[in-house]
Amino acid sequence: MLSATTHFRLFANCVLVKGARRSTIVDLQRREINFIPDTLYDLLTIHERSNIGTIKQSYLPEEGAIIESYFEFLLAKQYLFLCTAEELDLFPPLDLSFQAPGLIENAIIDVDAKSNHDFAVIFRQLEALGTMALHLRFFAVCGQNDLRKILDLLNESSIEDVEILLAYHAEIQEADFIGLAKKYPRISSITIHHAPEIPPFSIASPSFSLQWTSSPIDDHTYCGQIGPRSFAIHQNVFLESQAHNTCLNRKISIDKNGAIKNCPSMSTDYGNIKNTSLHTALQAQGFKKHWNIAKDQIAVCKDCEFRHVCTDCRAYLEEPENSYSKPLKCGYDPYTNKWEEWSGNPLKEKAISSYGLEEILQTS
Amino acid sequence: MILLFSDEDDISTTKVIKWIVDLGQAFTRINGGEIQYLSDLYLGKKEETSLIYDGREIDIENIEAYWYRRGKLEIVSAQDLEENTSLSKAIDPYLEYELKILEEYWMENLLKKKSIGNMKRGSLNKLLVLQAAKECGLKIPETIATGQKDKLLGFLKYHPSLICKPLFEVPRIQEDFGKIEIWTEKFDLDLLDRLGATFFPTLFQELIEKKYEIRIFYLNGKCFSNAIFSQLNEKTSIDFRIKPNGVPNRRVPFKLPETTRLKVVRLMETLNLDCGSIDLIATPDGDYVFLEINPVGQFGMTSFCGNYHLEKEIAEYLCA
Ligand code: SF4
Repeated sequence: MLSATTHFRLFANCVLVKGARRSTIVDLQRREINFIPDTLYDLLTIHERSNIGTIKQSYLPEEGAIIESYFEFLLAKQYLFLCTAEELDLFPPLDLSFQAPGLIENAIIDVDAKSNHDFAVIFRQLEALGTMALHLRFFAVCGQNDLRKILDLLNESSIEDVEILLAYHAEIQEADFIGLAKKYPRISSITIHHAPEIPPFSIASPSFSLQWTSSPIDDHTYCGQIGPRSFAIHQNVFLESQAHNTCLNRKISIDKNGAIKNCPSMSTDYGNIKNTSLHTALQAQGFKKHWNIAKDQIAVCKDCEFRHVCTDCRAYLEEPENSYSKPLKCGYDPYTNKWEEWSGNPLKEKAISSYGLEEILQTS
Repeated sequence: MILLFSDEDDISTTKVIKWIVDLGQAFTRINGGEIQYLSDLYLGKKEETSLIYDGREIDIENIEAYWYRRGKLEIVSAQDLEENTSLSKAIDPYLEYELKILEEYWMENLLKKKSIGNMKRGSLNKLLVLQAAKECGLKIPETIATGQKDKLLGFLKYHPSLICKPLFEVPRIQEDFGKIEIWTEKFDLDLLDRLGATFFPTLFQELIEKKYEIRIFYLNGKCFSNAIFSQLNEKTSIDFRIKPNGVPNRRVPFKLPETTRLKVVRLMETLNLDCGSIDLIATPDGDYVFLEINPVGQFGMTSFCGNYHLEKEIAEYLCA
């Protein structure tokens, strides 16, 4: 039994997020998410400063046991701790402000058989913008030597993290991938598309992973899928999501033709890398127009209990003309708590055809 | 230009540099162990001092501020010294002194600049710090340093639970037979039987019961604190640096009560330290007991867990 005079405090890195039908506790330190009923959310917020005695008084006597069991659960999970009234003010909530140096955090470069990018120039420009992470997406087969030539350009770079999407190529064997990961420690993951059905081998270590997908990825239209696998339970994402877009904020991209865009899947470009610098494009009117569209402003997402661990997509929308509509490729409904295949939803048919996504849906 | 003394793999330095660049300032990072040569030092009609570091010339005039995080300023000769002859053996120490004078000149002139960090104070004397903390009004654990068994037994009568810890820094001893790690440990009373009447002088302190630990990063009068709930994980409850299996200790932003904060600020001012990490224990009785100061401690976790943006704070101070 809890003492009636004791108070409690949630650990500041265990943050409550209320959804339409249920709530979550996002544990930013241990990077876990747990569902709680809305009644518990209310108890923890309305009675934030009450002691246990006062809380019990405001519920029916027979609910006392439920309250006890709630606290038992919260204490066992180390989501909260018991404290005195004086200590309440010593434990402030987490400051949710997001701050990061540099103009750009991450970049995407798309490459297909016809692309003709000058990587040395591009990397130099990205570094000047403060870019930390790079996603290289090869839609056509790229030989090992060509790949190594590109990666060599990053040897002294301030870009810390490189993810690579590669087309399946029987010539590249397990040892080659291990060799790549060793030689280029910046590479954090390689994903092979067009893979034969059974992946020949895979690698997963804390610093490097190799994944396979049988999907035939021929261009950018594969991107923007949202589901539990794309969730990131991470303090930075949580903070950034408060007032910024979790996909497009501080991102710059070069599509397969060299067009500079916020994201390769978007229709608007801000010049071509052949004659426009990334810095100039970034300053252009409209480039950042999606950066501050946060989940709290997006239809449906604003009622979703996953909204601060979820990525976003403004390129493929349920209502293509409405920048504040829900991402097309999310199959979650926060009003029923059910997941379904987004592409099977008849209400999405119009949007699917407006982006020309029928083909990719048939083949995948 | 902002000068940073650090280690090659210090992530906090890299983060601070990103903010320095963001603020539009140039920087030079000197990593410990890397070599610095004297370019020239002119005293007379003009005053000029410069070093050659990594092929670049650093003019002391151009240094607007510096951050001493790690490492040291060490000037060496660009010219290799003679082979190991008996003559060179006799002369070498004197040549070292020659270089020391140059280093000292650099250091004293650097000290006139705006800075963070304590170039001359890489480590502190734990006993003097405890004494100063007490004088500033902070509670400290009852402490005894002794190599006499009878004195230890006398102390044990009043404080049956003790910890012992190194007087100097935590050593990391790497030997052929393996690694010895020395942490703050609860003193095992069974050891008493194995102690002779005298033993190597050792620091003992009464074991303070913890409600939680408090780690403060102090920077120019401001305190940024975390509470660390190490007692939730029994294994770490003596020294929270020992990682528990699996789950990390809960570590959250903490607002130091004003009276304690003022004492901490006074202590840092007394010791002439502009930055450092301070450890306190919050006891179940509501006391705050001072443990120690680490003048070059890591602050990345304190910053992250409190979302204090300390890397930016440091860069802004240096660039202002
Ligand atoms: S509804 Fe919005 S926030 Fe929720 S899972 Fe889908 S995209 Fe993410």
